[in-house]
Amino acid sequence: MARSSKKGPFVNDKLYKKIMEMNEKGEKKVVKTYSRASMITPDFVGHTIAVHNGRKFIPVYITQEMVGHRLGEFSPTRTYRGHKEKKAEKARLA
Amino acid sequence: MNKENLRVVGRITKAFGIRGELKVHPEFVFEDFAKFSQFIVITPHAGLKILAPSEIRSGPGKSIIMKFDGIETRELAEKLSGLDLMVHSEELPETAKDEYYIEDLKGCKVFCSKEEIGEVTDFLFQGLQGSLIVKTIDHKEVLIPFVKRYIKSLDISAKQITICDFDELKEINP
Repeated sequence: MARSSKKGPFVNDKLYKKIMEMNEKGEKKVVKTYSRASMITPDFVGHTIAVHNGRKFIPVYITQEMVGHRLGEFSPTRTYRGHKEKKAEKARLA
Repeated sequence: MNKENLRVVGRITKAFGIRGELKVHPEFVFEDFAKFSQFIVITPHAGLKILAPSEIRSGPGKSIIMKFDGIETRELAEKLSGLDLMVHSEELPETAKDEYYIEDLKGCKVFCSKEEIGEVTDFLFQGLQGSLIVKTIDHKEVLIPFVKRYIKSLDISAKQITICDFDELKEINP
């Protein structure tokens, strides 16, 4: 079921406070968080958030396209160990 | 033939029809895949084998239906099912701007303010972006987001990547 629009998006208070403080100062430091369920708001864009995946923190650089998604979506919890052959996969510099 | 230079570009999923055709799951779009003049497969018994495509057409969904020279019956085609289709890395299509093959990124030396940090060992996909997995000189694993904010320059031919703000990334997982 969708979250009530009256409440607004869920963002961990501690994380939101840290981001807003950095926005006021104009700083861009890496912020660590365990809150994978926090929604990415436009205030987060341009910051790097290290999201815990159960084992370690994965740095996520927040871009405009990520707004509305949850932080956990960008911090994978499982490692695929298949494909022993070298695949011709590409990586895009965002 | 050097196995190190081979890259998987598709996988033969199964035999298709009775004329020796094969259904292939490609890693590239049809237009790029159709440009390869020959493929290499590693068979369990015969080892490396070169296959020259004689017919190629798009199949159901994203699949491709292919026919190779010398594979005329379904029985012969069935022997190839499940194998990876490979090409030499030099034959791969050119990448778009700011796009890189992961195998090319692996082994690149990483520098921050002219000081060597370590070497790229792998790449982590994270949905919209990814991170370089760098093994540092002091044998630690550091993730560097593959974004222009951190990657200042990238020279694949010289195998060198220059980054910035390494200290704050290093402290994420001490």
